Amino acid sequence: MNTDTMNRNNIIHKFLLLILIITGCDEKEKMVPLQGDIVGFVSLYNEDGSSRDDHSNVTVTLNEKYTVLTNEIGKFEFKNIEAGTYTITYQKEGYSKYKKFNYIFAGGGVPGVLGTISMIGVPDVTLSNLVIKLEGESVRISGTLSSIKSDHIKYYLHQTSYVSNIDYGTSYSFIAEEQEIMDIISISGIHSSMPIYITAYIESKGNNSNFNYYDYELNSSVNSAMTQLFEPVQVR
Amino acid sequence: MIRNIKFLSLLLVFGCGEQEIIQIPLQGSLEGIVIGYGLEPIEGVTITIEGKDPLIVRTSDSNGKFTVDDLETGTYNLVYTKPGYGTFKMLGYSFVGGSIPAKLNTLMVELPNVNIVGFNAQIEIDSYFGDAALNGSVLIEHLEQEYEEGHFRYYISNSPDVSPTQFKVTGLLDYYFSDVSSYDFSLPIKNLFPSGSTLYMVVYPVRGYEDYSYMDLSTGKQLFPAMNPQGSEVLSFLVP
Repeated sequence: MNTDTMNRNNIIHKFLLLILIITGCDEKEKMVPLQGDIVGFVSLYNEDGSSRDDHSNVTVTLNEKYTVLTNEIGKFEFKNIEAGTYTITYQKEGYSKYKKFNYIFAGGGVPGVLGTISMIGVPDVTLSNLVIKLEGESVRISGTLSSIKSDHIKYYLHQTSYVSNIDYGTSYSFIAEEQEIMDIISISGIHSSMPIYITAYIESKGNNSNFNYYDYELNSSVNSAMTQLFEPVQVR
Repeated sequence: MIRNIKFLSLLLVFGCGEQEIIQIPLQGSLEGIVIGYGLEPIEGVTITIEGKDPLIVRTSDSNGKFTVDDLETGTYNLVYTKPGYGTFKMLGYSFVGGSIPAKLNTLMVELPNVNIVGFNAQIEIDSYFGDAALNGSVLIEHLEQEYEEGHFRYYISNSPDVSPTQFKVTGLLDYYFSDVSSYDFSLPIKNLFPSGSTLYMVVYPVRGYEDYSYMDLSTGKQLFPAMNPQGSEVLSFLVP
């Protein structure tokens, strides 16, 4: 090897070393936030408000990204979740929904705790032979319920076709004592130029405020322990 | 030399595989105060903080205060113990850190100074409404002369091993006071258990408000810290 070659190699060597020092490995490093586990519980209730023995198969979702199911005692566990702010959605077919917003998780050595939330069975009831008639300043609603195990019917009125148990102007509660219902709602307080839409729900017998949650996307308190009996109908 | 160049080239091409680096957590201070019901500071409470190795241990001073400096961002369990008091746990405490100390006030409640010496009950049907109720009485003895009040917490289960950690239903029966030793109760059990099933019931004296509790993370049951470890005898009932 002559001196020229050695010098050239030395220069190449130094050049490569310089590149290595300048670029290093920094660009390829991925920053990973703290991680940890999150545990929580769900308590399921029957439609009449009595506690269930089996609390399993509730779908729990973190930020629409991670999903787990509850076991028989209602426990669920998320593993290796990165620190952050989370919205948790709880769902099970035939039960009221639940959402928890703004859960701040720091990650770390012991699990974050979500506490226990409650969900209740919603009535498995349908309405047939529905007739809605406007008679002067009253709305007359009649129909046939498939059963009367749940007895609270709630009517929601609003001036838009998207009236629901969350978005409404006024609401009225009736107790159904027989399968045949015949309810009369006065609309004398609503200005005659306003259109009126109506919808109805049948509520879980054991419903109470434990099944409410505040929905920060809808900016409204939500209670979903009820089954819709008919889609919104325009009555005026 | 050639070999060195080859090695460096190799390092440049392959040496920079993706590397996961855990973010350096924030740090900050945690300032806790341990108080009793009358807002009086409680000295000498041992606070064990789980979440980092090794455990952090502090003792509350004469002002009930304890401080943890340079605590890293993370989730922690804080366990508060003192002889004569119920052990309180704060589980899953999210600590972020930063320039201002996080403040944490915790209540410590003394264990009851009463024992249950008698417990009887039977299921009776309300003659008017037809609803079933558990009617009975609890008899206590006071171990100390000073004034004390608390309440009785009942646990009901379908299983004879009913206890504060294994139960189906729990709730409060009545308040107790220093100068009274016998208490009657009537507990509606409508809807709670199906007809024909056997119920087991036990009663414990407990201090602290109804929500002074923390969750057992293995079962999801609420545990009430200021509870006498000894309860009544277990009674059984057949639901009519």
